[in-house]
Amino acid sequence: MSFTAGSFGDLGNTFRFIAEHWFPMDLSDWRTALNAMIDTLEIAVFSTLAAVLFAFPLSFLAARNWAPYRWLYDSTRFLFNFFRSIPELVLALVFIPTLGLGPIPAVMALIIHNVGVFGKLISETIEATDDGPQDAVKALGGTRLLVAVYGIIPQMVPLVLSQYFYRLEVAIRTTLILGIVGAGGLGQMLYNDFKQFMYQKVTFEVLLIMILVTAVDYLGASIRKRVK
Amino acid sequence: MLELKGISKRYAGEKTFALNRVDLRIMPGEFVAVLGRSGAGKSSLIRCINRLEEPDAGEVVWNGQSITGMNARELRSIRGEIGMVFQHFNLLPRMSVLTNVIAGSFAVMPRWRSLIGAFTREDRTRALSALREVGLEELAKRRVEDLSGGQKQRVAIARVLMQQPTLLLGDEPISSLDAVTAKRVMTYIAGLHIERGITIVLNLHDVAMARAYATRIVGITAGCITFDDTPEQLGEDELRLIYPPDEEDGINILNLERNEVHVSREYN
Repeated sequence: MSFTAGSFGDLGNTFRFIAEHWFPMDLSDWRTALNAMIDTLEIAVFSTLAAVLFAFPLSFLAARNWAPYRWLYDSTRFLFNFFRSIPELVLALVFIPTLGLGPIPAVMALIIHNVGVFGKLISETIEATDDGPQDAVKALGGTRLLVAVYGIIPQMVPLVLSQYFYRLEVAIRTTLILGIVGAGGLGQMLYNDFKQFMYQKVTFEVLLIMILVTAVDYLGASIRKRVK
Repeated sequence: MLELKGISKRYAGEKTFALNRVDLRIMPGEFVAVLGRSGAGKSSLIRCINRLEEPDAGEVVWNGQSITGMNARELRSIRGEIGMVFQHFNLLPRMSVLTNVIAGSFAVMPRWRSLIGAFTREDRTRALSALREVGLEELAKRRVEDLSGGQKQRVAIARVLMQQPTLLLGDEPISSLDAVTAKRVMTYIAGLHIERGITIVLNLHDVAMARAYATRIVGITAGCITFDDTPEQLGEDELRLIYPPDEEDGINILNLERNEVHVSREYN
């Protein structure tokens, strides 16, 4: 099958499908949809927070300029690569036989995958920090831990915050996808309504997703501005 | 006494030595200015003393203790006795001026207190007193990012005062300051030497400053010591040795000292 500009010849079908079936919005389930949106937000926030808290200290071991031993650096990086390489959907499916349907497998999947992502991002941020303050702490007789606390972490705070909010945004979208495997939240509602051809309800759910992602973006920007 | 015995340093990927079997003996209370062109090995020399750079060969001995033979714990302890000021100040980012000064006592403070920033009233009083000495007491609560270059270097000097070292190393501490501020900073450093008897070893780019403040000048060329004497003995021949004229455009230190830099014909 070839893919050419001609493949878009029936693009009108998509517009017609949206115009005829998605509007007007059906707000009859607005309370359920709003609760589902909060569930989605809770899953995403909890998972990314847990992931960043696990990954933050481990990232120092995966940073060439801080890791005390080469083997520790290599093994931590390997662990991050391994976690990051498995898609969240696969991880969630793997956890379902143990943890059953519901948000917990999704949370586990998001935590594990994001530990890998945060580990890479944060360790590379550590490697890119200015050596100057680190040299100063070393020259003052500071331990490796003090070098991290006073020489590295203060330089990283705004960048890690920025990375956190970006990953939160991604986690919200992933949580929606994980709705397909029964993670609950807005994703599962959207999937069920789509399967039952209730597109007017889907319109409202898509609107809620847009509001959620935009709100997280604004919140992130506002917090980053305060932490300058 | 500080002794460097056959110190060599070659950075990974470099063909030439940054330091090539350098021997140097500095007596307590000396003010040594290290001169040399960029890349001559001045910074490597200073940084090998407190092992911010590990020498490849040789030994550094401070008051009879071999710094190069120390383990990590011993090294941290000896670093507490050796102050250091840097070209780019190297203050602790996003921290207050006061915290930066208190950091001077990290080596003698219980680890947990320094780690969580649980400083005592005495730490704060001593830090404020150090800040008073450099005229910055009123800026104690400000973040270091808000200070000018000169103020930052004075905070670094207050940190040295807090540390109470017996040896002060300086890696081009006035290179990024204007002439007036540089003179003021040098006056504070000279004060540490005269009033507290601290041994001082500074890298400087400014020959006039070196002549004015140091009791001894050491010249380095291509990783080797090519001059080591009093400022009075630093004549034109010696300067030519420390600062070999640039082969490409013939600019040399003597012209620069007399403000006689001529623009070459092709740019006229």
